[in-house]
Amino acid sequence: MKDNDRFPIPREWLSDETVMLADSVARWAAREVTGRRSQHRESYAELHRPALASLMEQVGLQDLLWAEPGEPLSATALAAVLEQVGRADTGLGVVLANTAALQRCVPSHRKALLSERGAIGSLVLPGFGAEPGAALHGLAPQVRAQATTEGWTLSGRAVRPQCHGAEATYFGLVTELDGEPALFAVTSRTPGLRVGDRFLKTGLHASPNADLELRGVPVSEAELLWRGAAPYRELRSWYYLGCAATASGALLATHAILDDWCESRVIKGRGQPFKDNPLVAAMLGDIGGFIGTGRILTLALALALEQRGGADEATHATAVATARLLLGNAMDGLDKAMELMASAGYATEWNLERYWRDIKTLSTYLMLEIVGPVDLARHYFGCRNL
Amino acid sequence: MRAIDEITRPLEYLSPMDRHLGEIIRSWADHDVIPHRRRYDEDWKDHQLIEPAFKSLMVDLGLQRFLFPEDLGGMGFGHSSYLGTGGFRIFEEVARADSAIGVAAGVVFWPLIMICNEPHVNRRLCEELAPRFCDSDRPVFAANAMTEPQGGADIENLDLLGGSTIRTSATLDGDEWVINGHKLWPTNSGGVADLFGVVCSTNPGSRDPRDFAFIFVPADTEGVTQGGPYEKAGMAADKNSDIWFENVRVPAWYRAHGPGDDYKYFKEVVAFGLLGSMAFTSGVLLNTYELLQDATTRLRFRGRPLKENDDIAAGLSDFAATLETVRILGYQFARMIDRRDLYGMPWSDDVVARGRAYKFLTCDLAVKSLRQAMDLLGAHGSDRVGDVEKHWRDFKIVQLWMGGKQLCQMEVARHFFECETL
Repeated sequence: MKDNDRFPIPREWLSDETVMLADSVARWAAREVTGRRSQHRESYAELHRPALASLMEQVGLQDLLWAEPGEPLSATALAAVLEQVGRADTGLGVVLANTAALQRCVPSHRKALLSERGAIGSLVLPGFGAEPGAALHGLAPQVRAQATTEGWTLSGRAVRPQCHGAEATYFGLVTELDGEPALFAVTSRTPGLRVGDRFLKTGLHASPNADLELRGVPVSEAELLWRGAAPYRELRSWYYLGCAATASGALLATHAILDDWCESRVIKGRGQPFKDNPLVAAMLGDIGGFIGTGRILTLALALALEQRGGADEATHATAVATARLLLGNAMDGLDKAMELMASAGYATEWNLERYWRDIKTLSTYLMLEIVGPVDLARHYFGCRNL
Repeated sequence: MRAIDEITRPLEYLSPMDRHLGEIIRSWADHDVIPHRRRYDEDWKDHQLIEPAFKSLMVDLGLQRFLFPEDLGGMGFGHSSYLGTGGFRIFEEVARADSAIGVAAGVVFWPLIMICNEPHVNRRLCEELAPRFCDSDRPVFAANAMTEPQGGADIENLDLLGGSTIRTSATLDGDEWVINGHKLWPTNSGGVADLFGVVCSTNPGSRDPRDFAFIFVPADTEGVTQGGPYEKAGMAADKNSDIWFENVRVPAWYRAHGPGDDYKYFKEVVAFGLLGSMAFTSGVLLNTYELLQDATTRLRFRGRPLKENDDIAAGLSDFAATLETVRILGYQFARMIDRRDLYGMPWSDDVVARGRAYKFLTCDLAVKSLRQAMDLLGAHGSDRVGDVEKHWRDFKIVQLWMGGKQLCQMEVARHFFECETL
């Protein structure tokens, strides 16, 4: 049974082209990722980098993301694509979620800056810090802008990108200008920007990350992509959509792994199929429910972004709520799946643990368990001083 | 800053050696493990980094002599009325550094419980096996070969299945047992073990407890093959693999006790497995508490230390409540094992069922708390250098092993609600 039959979504939400594109990405995933995984494990150089290049060029995502002069990829198409990418590899989904969010939120006259073929972008969002930004709700910009006569200089130490710091072509750096969020884009080759050593982390090995150091990197209006609260919300709304879709894909992969594993198992030595045990079934049911509802919620968010854009507070709140729910459900689903598969789930052989590590890593990067509830309260209950 | 020693445990229960044991192991942890543990994941196959930590713990500090009687060169804890609480303290401190070292060291004693613990000491086997552990200048590992490919946790589901799913067979041929079978996943396999305690059946398919056999097999016995270690999400210091027993011959007196008693005392092995799991839980949370104290004081959010924000403080409060609960429950179970006069024998259904209940509850709480701890650290929560993520990855299998939560739940329901058909 296909995913769309087992976990249906309203067909009218997807265009025929989107369905075809998602099928094409699914074939790419089988050929370039899952089909080669047993040989190359989590090797970035041997598995992820070639797979990413193939997705951008052979499947054509490069042209779809940076379509000039045509229509860029719609939000629903982006969600459908990232679900399939995330189903194959959560880390690749996160990398594309970064690039796509940046692409969507860059004014059209600035897109040339970022549309170099094969370019991969990475967001640098605010984090913990001693001096919170005035408009960043308690978080501190990792990069500070200092005005000069010709523009600004950007500075920051131990700056942590959302993904791919060791390999990204360019970085979208969120900072503050005059009390407003602002986004600068700089390439990894910019003088004064030093990419640190790749560091080890829990998961997302498709996204080799490294901290950055910016020592007075000179920038001008040309690198300033936008400023203001609305585009900042829009950027995060699109990023959260990409991450929710990726998490939805991880849940679909969980289902496939678990379904396969359950097929030949019995329980209690009586020949009773594992999945026909009521306790097991209850846990499977929880996981199935996460997937069925998660897919619909993700696509509903995509529709909201298509219709309203992501800049308004209401859509942004929906994006926060959806991503937080999807990530939380993906983590719960993976925890339950691992409980069911026990040691098999914990061993790398069945691949479940990789999604478990990847989703947890993404969850820490998004910080939605920390800032999410307050973001939502701010919108839904009008808390103004948080 | 509060010290982890301020986390509650019932002080009136503690072993007279508690402080001494705790200080020795904590010093070992702080010097020999914690500064190096973040590199253990890459060492999962070779154990070049990990091996020195085992040597200092097992040989230099003498932990591998823990259970054996003093006159055989051991520490005599098998005779101690503080085996539960003393053992809990030791393995809590070991797991504070690395829960995988905790399980690997703990499982050295797991099969030996069958023969070293009063009142069912098998003196002849103790004399036979003690020199391996007590006279060695290298770490010596034992393993419990229980799980089989076809049944997973069915082996441990003794009350329901009575050992009827065990396919590893033991056939008496003259004065030798001939063992054939295939086991999966024992801690300390993957080429590490020197000695196996093998769960097998003298009459495969039988539910008769007298057919359940626990037989010791030296790993270098002809016919024993250990596969290569599995690659896992964590727990690098604990190697696991397939093991095959093909016409393996050992003396008949290598069986722990004999018909009926092997079955009975194997439930004590289960009880100690539950106790060890709770000690690892407590140790992991104690160290995570230390790491969170530092991080939530250092990191700043909304212009103040992370921990000074109401919403964050609520999460920290949940963590502290979990830690207090886990530690108190763990020591309570240890005390139940020590005070047989009050709570019954450690192999009794009463004790085992309570251990199951405490184990699955504490593991569930810990898994949730470790997830939350990673989130509290933001983008640094998944840094390998942070160690919290290592505890999260390592600990997950503590929740999964010994039948996981679900087998525990069934046993607890069977006991407390007298369910008859589960």
